[in-house]
Amino acid sequence: VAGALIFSRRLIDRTDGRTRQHERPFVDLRAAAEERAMAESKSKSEGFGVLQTMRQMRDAGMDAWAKATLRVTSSRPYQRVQGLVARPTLLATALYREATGTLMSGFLAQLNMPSRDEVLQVAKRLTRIEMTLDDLGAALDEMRRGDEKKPARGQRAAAREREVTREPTTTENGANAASSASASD
Amino acid sequence: MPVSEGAGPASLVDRLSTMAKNLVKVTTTKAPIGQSPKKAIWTLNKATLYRYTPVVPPEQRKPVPLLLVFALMNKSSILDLRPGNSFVEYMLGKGYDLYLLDWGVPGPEDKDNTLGDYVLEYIPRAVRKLKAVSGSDQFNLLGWCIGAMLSTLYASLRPNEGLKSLILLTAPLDFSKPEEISLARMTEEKYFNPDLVLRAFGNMPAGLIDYGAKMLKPVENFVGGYLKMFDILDNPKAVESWHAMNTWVSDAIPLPGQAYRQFIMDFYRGNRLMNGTLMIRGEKADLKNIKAGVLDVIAMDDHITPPCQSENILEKLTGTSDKEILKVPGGHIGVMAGSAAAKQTWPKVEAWIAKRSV
Repeated sequence: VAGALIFSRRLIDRTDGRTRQHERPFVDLRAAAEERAMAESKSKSEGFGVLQTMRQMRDAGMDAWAKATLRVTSSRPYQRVQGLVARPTLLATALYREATGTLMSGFLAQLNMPSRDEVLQVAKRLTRIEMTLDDLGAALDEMRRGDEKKPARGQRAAAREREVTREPTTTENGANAASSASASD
Repeated sequence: MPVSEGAGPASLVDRLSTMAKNLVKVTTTKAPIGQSPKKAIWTLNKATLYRYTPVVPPEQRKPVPLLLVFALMNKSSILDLRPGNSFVEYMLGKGYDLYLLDWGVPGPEDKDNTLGDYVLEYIPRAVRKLKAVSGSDQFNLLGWCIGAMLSTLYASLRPNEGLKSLILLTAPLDFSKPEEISLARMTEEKYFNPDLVLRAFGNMPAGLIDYGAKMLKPVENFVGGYLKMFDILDNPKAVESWHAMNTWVSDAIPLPGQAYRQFIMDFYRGNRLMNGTLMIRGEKADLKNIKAGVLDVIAMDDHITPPCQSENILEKLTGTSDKEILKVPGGHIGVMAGSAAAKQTWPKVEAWIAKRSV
Protein backbone atom coordinates (compact mmCIF):
# COMPACT_ATOMS: atom_id res chain seq x y z
CA VAL A 1 0.00 0.00 0.00
CA ALA A 2 2.84 2.32 0.91
CA GLY A 3 4.57 1.54 -2.39
CA ALA A 4 1.39 2.27 -4.34
CA LEU A 5 0.95 5.53 -2.47
CA ILE A 6 4.52 6.63 -3.16
CA PHE A 7 4.17 5.67 -6.83
CA SER A 8 0.87 7.54 -7.26
CA ARG A 9 2.27 10.61 -5.48
CA ARG A 10 5.31 10.68 -7.75
CA LEU A 11 3.06 10.28 -10.78
CA ILE A 12 0.92 13.21 -9.67
CA ASP A 13 4.01 15.31 -8.97
CA ARG A 14 5.48 14.58 -12.39
CA THR A 15 2.24 15.28 -14.26
CA ASP A 16 1.70 18.45 -12.28
CA GLY A 17 5.24 19.59 -13.06
CA ARG A 18 4.85 18.86 -16.77
CA THR A 19 1.56 20.75 -17.14
CA ARG A 20 2.89 23.82 -15.36
CA GLN A 21 6.23 23.94 -17.13
CA HIS A 22 5.06 26.05 -20.07
CA GLU A 23 3.68 28.76 -17.83
CA ARG A 24 6.82 29.36 -15.79
CA PRO A 25 9.68 31.74 -16.50
CA PHE A 26 13.23 30.45 -16.80
CA VAL A 27 14.28 31.13 -13.21
CA ASP A 28 11.18 29.49 -11.89
CA LEU A 29 11.82 26.42 -14.02
CA ARG A 30 15.29 26.01 -12.58
CA ALA A 31 14.00 26.26 -9.06
CA ALA A 32 11.17 23.87 -9.84
CA ALA A 33 13.56 21.37 -11.41
CA GLU A 34 15.73 21.58 -8.34
CA GLU A 35 12.82 21.07 -6.02
CA ARG A 36 11.71 18.05 -8.05
CA ALA A 37 15.24 16.66 -7.90
CA MET A 38 15.30 17.16 -4.13
CA ALA A 39 11.88 15.55 -3.79
CA GLU A 40 12.92 12.63 -6.00
CA SER A 41 16.08 12.16 -3.99
CA LYS A 42 14.02 12.20 -0.82
CA SER A 43 11.44 9.80 -2.14
CA LYS A 44 14.15 7.47 -3.43
CA SER A 45 15.76 7.35 -0.04
CA GLU A 46 12.33 6.84 1.46
CA GLY A 47 12.03 3.67 -0.59
CA PHE A 48 12.96 1.36 2.25
CA GLY A 49 10.59 1.49 5.17
CA VAL A 50 13.38 0.74 7.60
CA LEU A 51 15.51 3.61 6.33
CA GLN A 52 12.56 5.93 6.41
CA THR A 53 11.83 5.04 10.02
CA MET A 54 15.50 5.50 10.91
CA ARG A 55 15.51 8.88 9.26
CA GLN A 56 12.37 9.95 11.08
CA MET A 57 13.91 8.84 14.36
CA ARG A 58 17.08 10.73 13.59
CA ASP A 59 15.16 13.90 12.68
CA ALA A 60 13.05 13.66 15.82
CA GLY A 61 16.21 13.20 17.88
CA MET A 62 17.83 16.17 16.17
CA ASP A 63 14.80 18.34 16.86
CA ALA A 64 14.81 17.44 20.53
CA TRP A 65 18.56 18.00 20.73
CA ALA A 66 18.27 21.36 18.96
CA LYS A 67 15.53 22.55 21.32
CA ALA A 68 17.41 21.42 24.42
CA THR A 69 20.66 23.04 23.26
CA LEU A 70 18.92 26.27 22.37
CA ARG A 71 17.30 26.36 25.79
CA VAL A 72 20.76 26.10 27.34
CA THR A 73 22.60 28.53 25.04
CA SER A 74 19.97 31.24 25.31
CA SER A 75 19.81 31.08 29.09
CA ARG A 76 21.31 33.72 31.40
CA PRO A 77 23.67 31.28 33.17
CA TYR A 78 25.14 30.23 29.82
CA GLN A 79 25.67 33.87 28.81
CA ARG A 80 27.30 34.51 32.17
CA VAL A 81 29.67 31.55 31.76
CA GLN A 82 30.50 32.62 28.22
CA GLY A 83 31.24 36.14 29.48
CA LEU A 84 33.41 34.78 32.28
CA VAL A 85 35.45 32.73 29.79
CA ALA A 86 35.63 35.44 27.14
CA ARG A 87 36.72 38.31 29.38
CA PRO A 88 40.14 36.94 30.51
CA THR A 89 40.79 35.43 27.07
CA LEU A 90 40.18 38.74 25.32
CA LEU A 91 42.14 40.64 27.94
CA ALA A 92 45.11 38.28 27.56
CA THR A 93 44.95 38.61 23.77
CA ALA A 94 44.81 42.41 24.01
CA LEU A 95 47.75 42.57 26.42
CA TYR A 96 49.80 40.20 24.29
CA ARG A 97 49.04 42.24 21.19
CA GLU A 98 49.93 45.52 22.86
CA ALA A 99 53.16 44.08 24.26
CA THR A 100 54.29 42.66 20.91
CA GLY A 101 53.26 45.91 19.20
CA THR A 102 55.43 47.99 21.54
CA LEU A 103 58.33 45.56 21.19
CA MET A 104 58.12 45.49 17.40
CA SER A 105 57.80 49.29 17.14
CA GLY A 106 61.08 49.75 19.00
CA PHE A 107 62.77 47.06 16.96
CA LEU A 108 61.54 48.49 13.65
CA ALA A 109 62.60 52.01 14.69
CA GLN A 110 66.11 50.68 15.26
CA LEU A 111 66.04 49.33 11.70
CA ASN A 112 64.73 52.67 10.39
CA MET A 113 61.50 51.03 9.30
CA PRO A 114 57.92 52.20 9.85
CA SER A 115 55.87 50.62 12.60
CA ARG A 116 52.47 48.95 12.07
CA ASP A 117 50.65 52.05 13.32
CA GLU A 118 52.57 54.27 10.92
CA VAL A 119 51.68 52.04 7.97
CA LEU A 120 48.03 52.08 9.05
CA GLN A 121 48.12 55.89 9.25
CA VAL A 122 49.46 56.05 5.68
CA ALA A 123 46.61 53.79 4.52
CA LYS A 124 44.06 56.07 6.19
CA ARG A 125 45.61 59.13 4.58
CA LEU A 126 45.42 57.43 1.20
CA THR A 127 41.71 56.85 1.71
CA ARG A 128 41.27 60.57 2.50
CA ILE A 129 43.23 61.48 -0.65
CA GLU A 130 41.08 59.07 -2.62
CA MET A 131 37.96 60.83 -1.34
CA THR A 132 39.32 64.23 -2.32
CA LEU A 133 40.23 62.98 -5.78
CA ASP A 134 36.78 61.46 -6.13
CA ASP A 135 35.20 64.82 -5.27
CA LEU A 136 37.48 66.62 -7.72
CA GLY A 137 36.67 64.10 -10.46
CA ALA A 138 32.96 64.52 -9.81
CA ALA A 139 33.29 68.33 -9.89
CA LEU A 140 35.13 68.13 -13.22
CA ASP A 141 32.46 65.83 -14.63
CA GLU A 142 29.83 68.28 -13.46
CA MET A 143 31.63 71.17 -15.16
CA ARG A 144 32.03 69.15 -18.35
CA ARG A 145 28.35 68.30 -18.38
CA GLY A 146 27.50 71.95 -17.75
CA ASP A 147 29.68 72.95 -20.71
CA GLU A 148 28.04 70.34 -22.92
CA LYS A 149 24.63 71.71 -22.08
CA LYS A 150 25.71 75.25 -23.06
CA PRO A 151 26.15 75.96 -26.81
CA ALA A 152 29.72 75.71 -28.07
CA ARG A 153 31.86 78.87 -28.27
CA GLY A 154 31.73 79.06 -32.07
CA GLN A 155 27.98 78.62 -31.99
CA ARG A 156 27.70 81.33 -29.35
CA ALA A 157 29.71 83.73 -31.51
CA ALA A 158 27.57 82.99 -34.56
CA ALA A 159 24.42 83.51 -32.55
CA ARG A 160 25.76 86.80 -31.25
CA GLU A 161 26.61 87.81 -34.81
CA ARG A 162 23.11 86.97 -36.00
CA GLU A 163 21.64 89.04 -33.16
CA VAL A 164 23.89 91.96 -34.02
CA THR A 165 23.01 91.92 -37.73
CA ARG A 166 19.30 91.60 -36.93
CA GLU A 167 19.19 94.64 -34.63
CA PRO A 168 19.09 97.96 -36.59
CA THR A 169 20.95 99.98 -33.94
CA THR A 170 23.93 97.68 -33.97
CA THR A 171 24.01 96.93 -37.73
CA GLU A 172 26.73 99.46 -38.28
CA ASN A 173 29.07 97.83 -35.83
CA GLY A 174 27.96 94.32 -36.75
CA ALA A 175 31.05 93.47 -38.78
CA ASN A 176 33.33 94.71 -36.02
CA ALA A 177 31.40 92.81 -33.38
CA ALA A 178 31.47 89.63 -35.45
CA SER A 179 35.17 89.96 -36.14
CA SER A 180 35.95 90.67 -32.48
CA ALA A 181 33.82 87.71 -31.44
CA SER A 182 35.58 85.40 -33.87
CA ALA A 183 38.94 86.82 -32.79
CA SER A 184 38.12 86.10 -29.18
CA ASP A 185 37.23 82.54 -30.18
CA MET B 1 22.98 7.30 4.25
CA PRO B 2 20.32 7.23 1.55
CA VAL B 3 20.16 4.11 -0.63
CA SER B 4 17.80 3.79 -3.57
CA GLU B 5 15.22 1.11 -4.09
CA GLY B 6 15.18 -1.59 -6.73
CA ALA B 7 18.69 -1.01 -8.03
CA GLY B 8 21.26 -3.59 -8.96
CA PRO B 9 24.82 -3.66 -7.67
CA ALA B 10 26.07 -1.62 -10.66
CA SER B 11 23.57 1.13 -9.93
CA LEU B 12 24.51 1.11 -6.28
CA VAL B 13 28.18 1.47 -7.19
CA ASP B 14 27.31 4.40 -9.50
CA ARG B 15 25.40 6.07 -6.74
CA LEU B 16 28.14 5.58 -4.19
CA SER B 17 30.66 6.92 -6.70
CA THR B 18 28.49 10.04 -7.28
CA MET B 19 28.18 10.53 -3.55
CA ALA B 20 31.93 10.23 -3.05
CA LYS B 21 32.61 12.71 -5.86
CA ASN B 22 30.12 15.18 -4.45
CA LEU B 23 31.52 14.81 -0.95
CA VAL B 24 35.04 15.55 -2.18
CA LYS B 25 33.71 18.50 -4.18
CA VAL B 26 31.88 20.18 -1.31
CA THR B 27 34.67 19.62 1.20
CA THR B 28 37.61 20.68 -0.96
CA THR B 29 36.32 23.37 -3.33
CA LYS B 30 34.40 26.62 -3.30
CA ALA B 31 31.32 26.92 -5.48
CA PRO B 32 31.36 29.71 -8.08
CA ILE B 33 28.99 32.40 -6.79
CA GLY B 34 28.16 35.95 -7.87
CA GLN B 35 28.64 35.18 -11.55
CA SER B 36 26.37 37.68 -13.30
CA PRO B 37 28.50 39.93 -15.54
CA LYS B 38 29.22 43.30 -13.96
CA LYS B 39 31.61 46.15 -14.32
CA ALA B 40 33.29 48.17 -11.54
CA ILE B 41 32.47 51.84 -12.14
CA TRP B 42 33.67 53.40 -8.90
CA THR B 43 35.91 52.49 -5.98
CA LEU B 44 36.76 54.07 -2.66
CA ASN B 45 39.06 52.33 -0.22
CA LYS B 46 37.71 48.72 -0.21
CA ALA B 47 34.24 49.63 -1.49
CA THR B 48 33.31 49.11 -5.13
CA LEU B 49 30.25 50.17 -7.06
CA TYR B 50 29.35 47.66 -9.76
CA ARG B 51 26.97 48.05 -12.62
CA TYR B 52 25.44 44.79 -13.84
CA THR B 53 25.41 44.29 -17.56
CA PRO B 54 21.80 44.76 -18.69
CA VAL B 55 20.20 41.82 -20.46
CA VAL B 56 17.22 43.56 -22.04
CA PRO B 57 17.27 46.15 -24.85
CA PRO B 58 17.50 49.81 -23.73
CA GLU B 59 13.91 50.62 -24.72
CA GLN B 60 12.60 47.91 -22.37
CA ARG B 61 14.68 49.01 -19.39
CA LYS B 62 13.26 50.74 -16.33
CA PRO B 63 14.31 54.42 -16.30
CA VAL B 64 15.02 54.57 -12.54
CA PRO B 65 18.16 52.66 -11.49
CA LEU B 66 18.19 50.34 -8.49
CA LEU B 67 21.08 50.31 -6.02
CA LEU B 68 21.67 47.20 -3.88
CA VAL B 69 23.41 47.50 -0.52
CA PHE B 70 24.23 44.44 1.55
CA ALA B 71 25.56 43.98 5.09
CA LEU B 72 29.09 44.90 6.12
CA MET B 73 30.05 41.50 7.54
CA ASN B 74 29.09 39.15 4.71
CA LYS B 75 29.80 39.16 1.03
CA SER B 76 27.20 40.64 -1.27
CA SER B 77 27.38 37.64 -3.61
CA ILE B 78 24.31 36.23 -1.81
CA LEU B 79 22.26 38.56 -4.01
CA ASP B 80 23.62 36.73 -7.02
CA LEU B 81 24.16 33.26 -5.59
CA ARG B 82 24.15 31.15 -8.75
CA PRO B 83 22.45 31.05 -12.15
CA GLY B 84 18.83 30.10 -11.67
CA ASN B 85 18.81 31.20 -8.03
CA SER B 86 19.87 34.82 -8.23
CA PHE B 87 17.91 37.94 -7.32
CA VAL B 88 20.25 39.97 -9.53
CA GLU B 89 19.56 37.73 -12.52
CA TYR B 90 15.82 37.98 -11.86
CA MET B 91 15.86 41.78 -11.67
CA LEU B 92 18.06 42.12 -14.75
CA GLY B 93 15.56 39.97 -16.61
CA LYS B 94 12.83 42.39 -15.57
CA GLY B 95 14.71 45.28 -17.15
CA TYR B 96 16.30 47.02 -14.17
CA ASP B 97 19.45 49.11 -14.43
CA LEU B 98 21.11 47.40 -11.48
CA TYR B 99 23.99 48.64 -9.31
CA LEU B 100 25.64 46.95 -6.36
CA LEU B 101 27.61 48.69 -3.64
CA ASP B 102 30.05 46.07 -2.39
CA TRP B 103 31.80 47.03 0.86
CA GLY B 104 34.80 44.78 0.31
CA VAL B 105 36.89 43.23 3.07
CA PRO B 106 38.06 45.72 5.73
CA GLY B 107 41.66 45.61 6.84
CA PRO B 108 43.26 46.67 10.14
CA GLU B 109 43.49 50.23 8.77
CA ASP B 110 39.68 50.38 8.66
CA LYS B 111 39.15 49.71 12.36
CA ASP B 112 38.18 53.34 13.00
CA ASN B 113 35.52 53.42 10.29
CA THR B 114 32.18 54.35 11.81
CA LEU B 115 28.64 53.94 10.54
CA GLY B 116 28.85 57.67 9.76
CA ASP B 117 31.71 57.02 7.34
CA TYR B 118 29.66 54.49 5.42
CA VAL B 119 26.45 56.53 5.47
CA LEU B 120 27.88 59.99 4.83
CA GLU B 121 31.08 59.33 2.87
CA TYR B 122 30.69 56.12 0.91
CA ILE B 123 26.99 55.89 0.02
CA PRO B 124 26.59 59.55 -1.13
CA ARG B 125 29.66 59.26 -3.38
CA ALA B 126 28.46 55.95 -4.82
CA VAL B 127 25.05 57.52 -5.43
CA ARG B 128 26.69 60.49 -7.17
CA LYS B 129 28.52 58.11 -9.50
CA LEU B 130 25.39 56.05 -10.09
CA LYS B 131 23.50 59.17 -11.13
CA ALA B 132 26.30 60.26 -13.44
CA VAL B 133 26.51 56.86 -15.13
CA SER B 134 22.78 56.19 -15.38
CA GLY B 135 21.87 59.76 -16.30
CA SER B 136 18.95 59.60 -13.89
CA ASP B 137 18.45 62.05 -11.03
CA GLN B 138 16.36 59.55 -9.13
CA PHE B 139 17.14 56.08 -7.86
CA ASN B 140 15.70 53.27 -5.76
CA LEU B 141 17.66 51.76 -2.90
CA LEU B 142 17.42 48.18 -1.64
CA GLY B 143 19.19 47.32 1.60
CA TRP B 144 19.41 43.95 3.26
CA CYS B 145 20.24 43.28 6.93
CA ILE B 146 22.78 45.88 8.12
CA GLY B 147 22.69 47.18 4.54
CA ALA B 148 19.04 48.05 5.23
CA MET B 149 20.06 49.83 8.41
CA LEU B 150 22.69 51.86 6.55
CA SER B 151 20.18 52.62 3.79
CA THR B 152 17.66 53.83 6.37
CA LEU B 153 20.25 56.10 7.95
CA TYR B 154 21.18 57.45 4.53
CA ALA B 155 17.52 58.06 3.65
CA SER B 156 16.97 59.93 6.88
CA LEU B 157 20.15 62.02 6.68
CA ARG B 158 20.08 62.76 2.94
CA PRO B 159 16.38 62.82 2.01
CA ASN B 160 16.79 65.23 -0.90
CA GLU B 161 19.36 63.36 -2.96
CA GLY B 162 16.91 61.78 -5.38
CA LEU B 163 15.94 58.68 -3.43
CA LYS B 164 12.59 57.61 -4.84
CA SER B 165 11.96 54.44 -2.88
CA LEU B 166 13.61 52.45 -0.14
CA ILE B 167 13.29 48.69 0.15
CA LEU B 168 14.30 47.26 3.51
CA LEU B 169 14.89 43.53 3.78
CA THR B 170 15.07 42.08 7.30
CA ALA B 171 16.20 45.43 8.69
CA PRO B 172 17.44 45.47 12.31
CA LEU B 173 16.11 48.86 13.38
CA ASP B 174 14.00 48.42 16.49
CA PHE B 175 15.67 47.05 19.62
CA SER B 176 12.90 47.82 22.08
CA LYS B 177 12.18 44.13 22.80
CA PRO B 178 15.60 42.68 23.71
CA GLU B 179 14.03 39.57 25.24
CA GLU B 180 12.84 38.56 21.75
CA ILE B 181 16.21 39.25 20.09
CA SER B 182 18.71 36.46 20.69
CA LEU B 183 21.69 38.58 19.65
CA ALA B 184 20.65 41.28 22.12
CA ARG B 185 20.81 38.76 24.97
CA MET B 186 24.23 37.65 23.76
CA THR B 187 25.57 41.21 23.73
CA GLU B 188 24.10 42.39 27.03
CA GLU B 189 26.32 44.78 28.98
CA LYS B 190 26.62 42.38 31.90
CA TYR B 191 28.19 39.62 29.80
CA PHE B 192 29.85 41.27 26.84
CA ASN B 193 32.31 44.12 26.43
CA PRO B 194 32.81 45.19 22.79
CA ASP B 195 35.72 47.46 23.73
CA LEU B 196 37.68 44.46 24.93
CA VAL B 197 37.10 42.68 21.62
CA LEU B 198 38.29 45.72 19.68
CA ARG B 199 41.30 46.17 21.96
CA ALA B 200 42.27 42.57 21.24
CA PHE B 201 41.55 42.47 17.50
CA GLY B 202 40.95 45.97 16.14
CA ASN B 203 38.05 44.86 13.97
CA MET B 204 35.37 42.40 15.00
CA PRO B 205 36.81 39.15 13.60
CA ALA B 206 34.80 37.23 11.01
CA GLY B 207 35.16 34.05 13.05
CA LEU B 208 33.50 35.61 16.09
CA ILE B 209 30.63 37.02 14.02
CA ASP B 210 30.14 33.62 12.43
CA TYR B 211 30.25 31.91 15.84
CA GLY B 212 27.71 34.34 17.26
CA ALA B 213 25.32 33.85 14.34
CA LYS B 214 25.66 30.07 14.44
CA MET B 215 25.12 29.91 18.19
CA LEU B 216 21.63 31.29 17.66
CA LYS B 217 20.74 27.82 16.36
CA PRO B 218 23.75 25.71 17.30
CA VAL B 219 22.58 22.20 16.44
CA GLU B 220 21.06 23.22 13.11
CA ASN B 221 24.15 25.20 12.09
CA PHE B 222 26.95 23.00 13.38
CA VAL B 223 25.38 19.57 12.72
CA GLY B 224 22.04 19.79 10.88
CA GLY B 225 23.41 21.50 7.79
CA TYR B 226 25.96 18.75 7.24
CA LEU B 227 23.45 15.98 7.86
CA LYS B 228 21.26 17.59 5.23
CA MET B 229 24.21 17.55 2.87
CA PHE B 230 24.65 13.78 3.44
CA ASP B 231 20.96 13.26 2.70
CA ILE B 232 21.24 14.87 -0.72
CA LEU B 233 24.71 13.69 -1.62
CA ASP B 234 23.48 11.49 -4.50
CA ASN B 235 21.67 14.40 -6.13
CA PRO B 236 24.09 16.65 -8.04
CA LYS B 237 21.63 19.53 -8.43
CA ALA B 238 20.74 19.64 -4.76
CA VAL B 239 24.43 19.35 -3.85
CA GLU B 240 25.21 22.27 -6.15
CA SER B 241 22.64 24.38 -4.35
CA TRP B 242 23.94 23.38 -0.89
CA HIS B 243 27.54 23.94 -1.98
CA ALA B 244 26.81 27.47 -3.22
CA MET B 245 25.07 28.44 0.02
CA ASN B 246 27.77 26.83 2.16
CA THR B 247 30.47 28.67 0.21
CA TRP B 248 28.77 31.96 0.94
CA VAL B 249 28.06 31.18 4.61
CA SER B 250 31.64 30.15 5.33
CA ASP B 251 33.07 33.26 3.69
CA ALA B 252 32.30 35.83 6.39
CA ILE B 253 34.33 39.03 6.66
CA PRO B 254 35.35 41.14 9.66
CA LEU B 255 33.29 44.13 10.73
CA PRO B 256 35.14 47.45 11.14
CA GLY B 257 35.73 47.96 14.85
CA GLN B 258 34.12 51.35 15.47
CA ALA B 259 31.12 50.55 13.28
CA TYR B 260 30.61 47.38 15.33
CA ARG B 261 30.94 49.28 18.60
CA GLN B 262 28.40 51.86 17.43
CA PHE B 263 26.05 49.09 16.37
CA ILE B 264 26.17 47.51 19.83
CA MET B 265 26.07 50.74 21.85
CA ASP B 266 23.67 52.90 19.83
CA PHE B 267 21.40 50.22 18.46
CA TYR B 268 21.40 47.05 20.56
CA ARG B 269 21.78 48.81 23.89
CA GLY B 270 20.51 52.34 23.25
CA ASN B 271 17.85 51.77 20.54
CA ARG B 272 18.64 55.34 19.57
CA LEU B 273 17.23 55.35 16.05
CA MET B 274 13.76 54.43 17.26
CA ASN B 275 14.04 56.79 20.23
CA GLY B 276 15.00 59.63 17.91
CA THR B 277 18.29 60.31 19.68
CA LEU B 278 20.77 58.87 17.20
CA MET B 279 23.46 61.31 16.13
CA ILE B 280 25.66 60.53 13.12
CA ARG B 281 28.59 62.93 12.91
CA GLY B 282 26.62 65.58 14.69
CA GLU B 283 23.54 65.16 12.49
CA LYS B 284 20.36 63.77 13.94
CA ALA B 285 19.17 60.63 12.14
CA ASP B 286 15.42 61.03 12.32
CA LEU B 287 13.07 58.55 10.65
CA LYS B 288 10.59 61.40 10.18
CA ASN B 289 12.93 62.88 7.57
CA ILE B 290 12.50 59.96 5.16
CA LYS B 291 10.48 61.16 2.18
CA ALA B 292 10.93 58.18 -0.16
CA GLY B 293 8.41 55.36 -0.46
CA VAL B 294 9.27 52.50 1.88
CA LEU B 295 8.73 48.76 1.54
CA ASP B 296 9.56 46.93 4.75
CA VAL B 297 10.08 43.22 4.03
CA ILE B 298 9.88 41.00 7.10
CA ALA B 299 10.93 37.35 7.14
CA MET B 300 8.53 35.57 9.45
CA ASP B 301 11.00 32.85 10.52
CA ASP B 302 13.99 35.13 10.93
CA HIS B 303 15.94 34.28 14.09
CA ILE B 304 18.75 36.80 13.45
CA THR B 305 16.53 39.84 12.89
CA PRO B 306 13.17 38.74 14.33
CA PRO B 307 10.03 40.46 12.97
CA CYS B 308 9.77 42.66 16.07
CA GLN B 309 12.89 44.52 14.90
CA SER B 310 11.24 46.04 11.87
CA GLU B 311 7.47 45.68 12.09
CA ASN B 312 6.88 48.91 14.02
CA ILE B 313 9.05 51.27 12.02
CA LEU B 314 6.32 52.42 9.65
CA GLU B 315 4.67 54.30 12.52
CA LYS B 316 7.80 56.42 12.79
CA LEU B 317 7.94 57.22 9.08
CA THR B 318 5.64 60.21 9.20
CA GLY B 319 7.40 61.99 6.33
CA THR B 320 6.03 59.61 3.70
CA SER B 321 2.60 58.24 2.98
CA ASP B 322 3.87 55.60 0.56
CA LYS B 323 4.82 52.84 2.99
CA GLU B 324 4.04 49.17 3.17
CA ILE B 325 4.95 46.05 5.11
CA LEU B 326 5.47 42.77 3.28
CA LYS B 327 5.59 39.66 5.44
CA VAL B 328 7.00 36.60 3.74
CA PRO B 329 7.76 33.11 5.02
CA GLY B 330 11.44 32.26 5.37
CA GLY B 331 14.53 32.95 7.41
CA HIS B 332 17.01 35.81 7.41
CA ILE B 333 18.81 34.63 4.27
CA GLY B 334 16.32 32.12 2.88
CA VAL B 335 13.80 34.91 2.34
CA MET B 336 15.86 36.15 -0.60
CA ALA B 337 18.19 33.27 -1.45
CA GLY B 338 16.16 30.17 -0.59
CA SER B 339 14.55 27.91 -3.17
CA ALA B 340 11.14 29.49 -2.49
CA ALA B 341 12.36 33.09 -2.83
CA ALA B 342 11.83 33.13 -6.60
CA LYS B 343 8.15 32.45 -6.06
CA GLN B 344 7.37 34.10 -2.76
CA THR B 345 9.60 37.14 -2.33
CA TRP B 346 11.15 38.36 -5.58
CA PRO B 347 7.91 38.84 -7.59
CA LYS B 348 6.29 40.82 -4.77
CA VAL B 349 9.35 43.00 -4.20
CA GLU B 350 9.78 43.52 -7.93
CA ALA B 351 6.13 44.45 -8.44
CA TRP B 352 6.41 47.09 -5.71
CA ILE B 353 9.62 48.56 -7.14
CA ALA B 354 8.26 48.46 -10.70
CA LYS B 355 5.50 50.90 -9.76
CA ARG B 356 8.15 53.30 -8.48
CA SER B 357 10.54 52.89 -11.39
CA VAL B 358 8.63 54.91 -13.96
